[in-house]
Amino acid sequence: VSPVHGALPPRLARTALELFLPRGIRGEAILGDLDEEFQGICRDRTRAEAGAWYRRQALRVIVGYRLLGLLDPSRRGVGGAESGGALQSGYATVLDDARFALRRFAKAPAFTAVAVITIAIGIGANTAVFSVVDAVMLRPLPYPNADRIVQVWQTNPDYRAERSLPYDDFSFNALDYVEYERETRVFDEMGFALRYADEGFGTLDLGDGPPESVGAWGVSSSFFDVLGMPPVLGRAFTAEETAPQGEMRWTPVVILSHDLWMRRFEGDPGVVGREIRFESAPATVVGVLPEGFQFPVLSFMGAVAAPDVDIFVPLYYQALYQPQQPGRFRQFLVTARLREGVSVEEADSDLARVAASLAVAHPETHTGWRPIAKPLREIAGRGFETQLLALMAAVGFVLLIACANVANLLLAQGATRRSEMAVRSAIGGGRRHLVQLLLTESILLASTGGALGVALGQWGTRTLVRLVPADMPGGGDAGLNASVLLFAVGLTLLTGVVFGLLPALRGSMLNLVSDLRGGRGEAGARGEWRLSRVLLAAQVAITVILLVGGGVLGKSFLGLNSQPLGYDPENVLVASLVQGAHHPLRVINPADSAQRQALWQRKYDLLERLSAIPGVVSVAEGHPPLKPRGGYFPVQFTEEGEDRAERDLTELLRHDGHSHRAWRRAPAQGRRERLEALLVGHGLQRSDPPVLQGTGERNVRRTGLAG
Amino acid sequence: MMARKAEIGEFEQLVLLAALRLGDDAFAPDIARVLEERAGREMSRGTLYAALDRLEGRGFVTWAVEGPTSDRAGGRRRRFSVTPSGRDALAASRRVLLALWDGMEHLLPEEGA
Repeated sequence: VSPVHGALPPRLARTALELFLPRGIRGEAILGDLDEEFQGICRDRTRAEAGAWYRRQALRVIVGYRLLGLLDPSRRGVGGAESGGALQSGYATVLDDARFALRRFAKAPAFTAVAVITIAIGIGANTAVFSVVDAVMLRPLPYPNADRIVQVWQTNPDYRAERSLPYDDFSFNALDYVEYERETRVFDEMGFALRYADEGFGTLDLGDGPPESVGAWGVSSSFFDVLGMPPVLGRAFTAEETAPQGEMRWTPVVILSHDLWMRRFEGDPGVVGREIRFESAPATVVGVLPEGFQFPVLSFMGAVAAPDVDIFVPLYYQALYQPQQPGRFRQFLVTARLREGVSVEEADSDLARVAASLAVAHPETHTGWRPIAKPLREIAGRGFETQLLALMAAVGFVLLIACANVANLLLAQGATRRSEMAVRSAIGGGRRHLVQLLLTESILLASTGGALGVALGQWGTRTLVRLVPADMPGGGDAGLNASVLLFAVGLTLLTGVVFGLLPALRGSMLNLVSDLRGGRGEAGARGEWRLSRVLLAAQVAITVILLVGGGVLGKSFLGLNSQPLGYDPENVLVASLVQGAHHPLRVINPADSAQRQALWQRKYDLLERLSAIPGVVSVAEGHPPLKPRGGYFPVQFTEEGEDRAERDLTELLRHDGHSHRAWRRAPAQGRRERLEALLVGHGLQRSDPPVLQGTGERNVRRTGLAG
Repeated sequence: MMARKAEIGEFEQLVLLAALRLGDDAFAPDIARVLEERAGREMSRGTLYAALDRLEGRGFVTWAVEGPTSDRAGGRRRRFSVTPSGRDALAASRRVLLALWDGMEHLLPEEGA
C-alpha cells in the first residue's frame, strides 16, 4: 500500500476531530482510520466526494461518538487505556458530575438560591429586551417580496428650514400621487394609505352592543396588491371605488382584518356582502384580509407607525384633489413595489426625473422637492435601533455583573472545597476532569437560573411592551417565541461558562500537599483574593457605566413619549369624540357653507358648556387634536399666522374666540408658556360633555368617547 | 444482572458478527465496510465507534495496538477481536432468536434466490 501523499482530508474537519477526540491511542486510531478510509474513497471517487464523506463522518464522530458519549454511562471508563479491555476508573461522565452537583446544591440551599436568582434576573432582563429587539428589528416582514416594497416620501430641506420642522419626510398630495403613478417606470405597483378621518379610528356598530372604535385607514385599490396580500375572502377595492371621477361620493364598502373577522363575526365566510354600520352609516363588507396581514410600518412627519388597522375603506382621493393648491395637503403615504431587478437607487433617479418635470410645470409649489424610496425593512426599526441596542447593551452589562457576582460566590466556595478537589485529584481525577466537574456545576446553576429567567423575562416583556412607545412598530408583538427561546438557551450556556470558567480553572489549580492537609496554600489563598478583587473592581466599573448609561437611556427610551411637542402639555387635556356622520373624506363639502355653519354651531354649544366646568381656564377645538408624535399637521402654532401653511391650520383652530388664547407656540428659546386648556377633538356629535380625566398628566391624554 | 449482560442490541450484534467474520483483519474501517455492504448505505462512524466502545465496556470485544504502520504515516491502529464472552453473547442472542422463530418460518414471504 502506498504511503499517504497527495490527497489530504479537509483541514477544518480534521482539526475539529483532533480537538474533540480523546487523547491517546483511542483518538489516534480513529483519526488514522478515517484518514485511511478517505484515501480509499479518493482512489474510487472524486476528491470532492471524498471530502464530503470525510466532513460528514467527522461530524458524526464528534457528535455521535464523542459528545453523546459523555452522557452515556455504559461507556464510562472507556478512555485512556493503551490496550483494550483494561477499564480505567475516574473518568466519570457529565451525567455523574451533574448528579453530584445536584446533591451539592441541595446541601447549600442559600448559596444555590442566591446564585440562581442572580442569574435569573440577568437572563430575564436580557430575554425581555431581546423579545422587543426581535419583534421590532429581527422578525421578517410578512409580505411576499418584502425586500422590493418601498415607501416613497419627499424631502425639501428649504421648506423644512423655513418652518423649522423637526422632520424631513413629507407625504404626497393627490395631484402629485397621480403624476408619479403615471410617470414612474420603476414600480410594478403603487398604492397609498391615509388615516381615516385623520385619527385613524372609526366606529363600528354591529347592533349587538355598544359601538366599538376600531383602527381604520383609507387605502387605494392597489394597496393590497403592492404588499402582495390581497383579501382571502371577497375582493379588494376597485379603481372606481377609490377614485370616482367628478362627483363627491364615497362608496360605502369596507374590508375587514382577519382579526376583526374572527373576533366580531366568528370567522363567518358569509360576511362578504353583509351590511354593517360603520361611522353610523351602512357599509357593505367586500373582503377579508389574510391572517397575519400587518399594516406596513410607515414613516411620516418624523415618526414611524405600524397601526393596528381593523377596517379599510376605499380612499376617495379625488375629493382631496385641489387643483388650485397643488403643492399643499400632503397626506398620502405612498407604498410601492419595485420591479424585479430594479434597485432603490434606480428608483430614486426615476423619481427625481418625474420631480424635475413637476418642478418645471409648477415652479412655485414644486421646486426643491425630492422624492426618495425607502425599503420597508429600513423604516421598520427607524429611530428605535439606537435605543434598543443601547438597552440590549445595558442588560448585557447587568448579566455581566450577575456573572461576576456568581463567580465570586463560586470562588468563595472553591476555597472551602480545596480538600475535596485535592482528594479527587489524588485518586486520579485529572485537571481536565476537575474543570469538567466544576463547569458542569456552573452550567447546571446557569440552566436553573436561565429557566427561571425565561419566566421572569415573560413578565418583563409584558412590562416593557407597556413602556415602549405605542408607535414602535412591532413592539406590541414582543413575546416568547422560538428565536427568543434559542437566544435564552444560548445565553444561559454562555453565562454558565463565563461565570464558571474562572473559578473552575482556579479551583483545579491545586497544591496537593497543603490542600490535602486541609490547609490553604499561601499562594492559593493569595491568588483567590487577587481574583476576587479583580472581579469586584470589574463589578464596580460596570455598575458605574450602567448608572451613567441608565440615566441617558431612561431619558431617551422611556422618554420617547415626551419629545418636545412645541407646546406645553402641562394641564392640557384632550378629549376626542368619535363621531358619526362627520369626517373629512366624505363630509363637509367645503363649498356648502350652511353645512359648515351647522357643524360649528354644535361645536360652539359644547365648548360653551365645557368652559363652564369649574377649573377649566380655556377651551379650544382642534382638528386634528394634538398628537405627541406624528400626525398630519405639524403641532406648531403661531400667533401671527403669517406663514401660509400654518395660517390655514390656525384658522381651523380659531373657530371660537378661545382657541387663540389657548394655543401658543413655545418660544424659540425653549421657555414655554403655561397653558391651561381643555381641547376637544374634531367633530362632535353627542351633546353631553365628555367625561374628563385627571389634570396635570405628563402627556396629552385623549379620551375616546364612542357615540 | 447476568441476564441483562447477555442481552445485546441489534446493531451491536451486527458489529460483533462482522468482527467475527473478519477474524484477524477486524480493523474498524473493515467492520464498517462489511456492514455497509450488507446494509447498502453509508453508516455513521460515530455510531460504529460508540458501539465498539460499548462492546468493549461489556467485555465482548478487545483490541490490540498495531503499528506504527507506513501506510498511515506512522499512525497506529487498533485490531479488534471478539472475546469468548462476546461469542457467548452472540450464541445466546442466536438461541433466543431461533427459539422465537421456531415454527414460524411458514409465515415469512417466499424469498427469491
